[in-house]
Amino acid sequence: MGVIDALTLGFSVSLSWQNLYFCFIGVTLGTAVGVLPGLGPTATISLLLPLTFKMEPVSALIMLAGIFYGAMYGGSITSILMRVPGEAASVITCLDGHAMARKGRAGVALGMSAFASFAAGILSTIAIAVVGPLAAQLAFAFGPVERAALVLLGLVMVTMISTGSRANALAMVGLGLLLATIGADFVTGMDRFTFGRAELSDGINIALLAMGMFGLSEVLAMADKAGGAVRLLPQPKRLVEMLPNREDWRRSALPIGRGSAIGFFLGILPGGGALIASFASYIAEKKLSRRPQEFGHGAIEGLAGPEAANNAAAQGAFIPLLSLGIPANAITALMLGALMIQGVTPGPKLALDNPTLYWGTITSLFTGNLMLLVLNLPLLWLFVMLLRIPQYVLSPLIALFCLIGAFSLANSPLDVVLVVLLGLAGYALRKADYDPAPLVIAFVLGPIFEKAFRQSLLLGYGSPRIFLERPISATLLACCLLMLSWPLLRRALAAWRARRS
Amino acid sequence: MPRPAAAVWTVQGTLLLVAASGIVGATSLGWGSGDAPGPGMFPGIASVLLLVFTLGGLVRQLRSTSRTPAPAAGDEAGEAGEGANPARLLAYAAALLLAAFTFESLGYPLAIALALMVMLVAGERVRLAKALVITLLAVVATWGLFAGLLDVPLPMVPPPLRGFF
Repeated sequence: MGVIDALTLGFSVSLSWQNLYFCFIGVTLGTAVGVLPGLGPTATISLLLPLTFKMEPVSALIMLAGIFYGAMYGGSITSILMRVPGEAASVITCLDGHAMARKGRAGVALGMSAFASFAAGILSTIAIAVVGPLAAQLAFAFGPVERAALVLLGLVMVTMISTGSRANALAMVGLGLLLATIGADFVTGMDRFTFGRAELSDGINIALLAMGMFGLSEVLAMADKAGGAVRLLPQPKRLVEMLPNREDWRRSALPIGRGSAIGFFLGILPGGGALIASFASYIAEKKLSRRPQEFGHGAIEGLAGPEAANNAAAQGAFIPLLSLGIPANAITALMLGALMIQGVTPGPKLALDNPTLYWGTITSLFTGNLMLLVLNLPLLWLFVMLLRIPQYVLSPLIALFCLIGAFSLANSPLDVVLVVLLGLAGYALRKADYDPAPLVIAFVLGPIFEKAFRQSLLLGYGSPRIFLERPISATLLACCLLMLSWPLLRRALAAWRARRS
Repeated sequence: MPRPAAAVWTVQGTLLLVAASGIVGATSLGWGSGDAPGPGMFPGIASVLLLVFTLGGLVRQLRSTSRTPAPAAGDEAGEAGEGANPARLLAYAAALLLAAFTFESLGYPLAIALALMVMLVAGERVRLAKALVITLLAVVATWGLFAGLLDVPLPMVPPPLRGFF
């Protein structure tokens, strides 16, 4: 079947009233859970899984997919308005999105976030349809060795997003990696740093860390401001001020394209995920920008690129799921479970054996993204209205949502204590010029790196030479070395040039 | 406002302590060997990284004590024309700790209401009646959303009274 025929078949499935209805339910629920801190798409999909048992497999997958990418957009709303990431993948959006809101550009940030997510959704849907099977083979090329090298490169690059000094950023990477080791060791099962608490055996939830380090620490930072009681964040007054202008579009077009490509590529890799994609896109934009000093202070490129990347990654994850039957993350693993319960086994033959499911799901990504845009753009004014709530009410409410959000993760009172302690620690770190962003990113990358590294050593019979024997990992390690030694190299190059002249 | 040196020293000291504890903990877990890394290897490496770069920051801090310190990154208190408000900060911190440590023992409504009242009355100097209304609305709305709509089993009453409700 050609691509055009396949897409025609897919749209005939996804545009049926029944599937449009389930898609609408999915994106609406996804947006809602994305906004609420704590209750992420994984928890929502787990809760709704029993409901899907009586549904058609394609309708079930369309609804679950809608929750997934709806949450990607919903998570950005509170990140931009309150610096509270509703969802882990929105951590990067806090950096420039909230800075834009502080400058009175909350509407523009929300609008650009919706447009970037939509554009990335469309681009990745086309990419899935055209290069899906080919891209699935690429995922095969990334084993534990390549993944370990890729994540190591990510850890080296983490220091570039920091607003503080490089030494402080590297210290935060160390702290993030250390916090990530809390819980049971995945090889021996031995508890590490759990202090005998069974609740800590699964480690600290990323949402707790993000809510504490960004949400509560922001509340404390606001509380430490003199005379802030009646202060409001600047708000746009007219509709035109809420929409991106020509300059915003000019600055965002390329970041959206690049973010979509980065997100799509990282989304298909097992363990890649939306957070890593948005972070990689942010670094790429900062490196390529002519105004890197604006990043962290409201650069629209720092918002548009990562927003496109996290949505593209969410959709890229469908390639290994549908084409290989391999889930790229916990959410697609749940979707795989939902399909298998219905007697559908995803794999290389799915597109041939069950084309209505395969192409119906892929085209639903297009309709779902359009639905998200139509749903969210008219609501921009409503979201921006949140800024009209006086600071003396808003700050306690943000704190309240963080506390309940923390509890709702695992219904554990210990999580409430942890989020408060992390919030206090986050505030203290910010006060001492330690940026929490590298800490949070290292916390996410740490377990992926540890697992891949230990698997690689097993594959190499204990020899780390395996990293140099594989071309992809060797290239990635060379990039790490280059990036680490770049300041020294640059200095040596400057000295050499000076001597020559 | 210049970055308070005491905060920097305290944070750096705490980070060094965390790093040292991490190394001790990693050693007790067992570092393993190159071909068979133990459960302590990664925590150990992370702790060493933290130790080395915190010490680096400490040295830099000592060297620059004679220079004018820069405002902290992301520290809005350092913005021009704005000062610190330690009393309100303390009220917020106390309220958060109060809510966290009484969430289970007092039950969600009481713990959250107490924390909100501390934040609003002691922190924001809101009138008592107004603070009571805001607190009541916030508790009822969040209860409706999380417990009513999303089925989150929030602890509603203190454990000794749970048999009666």
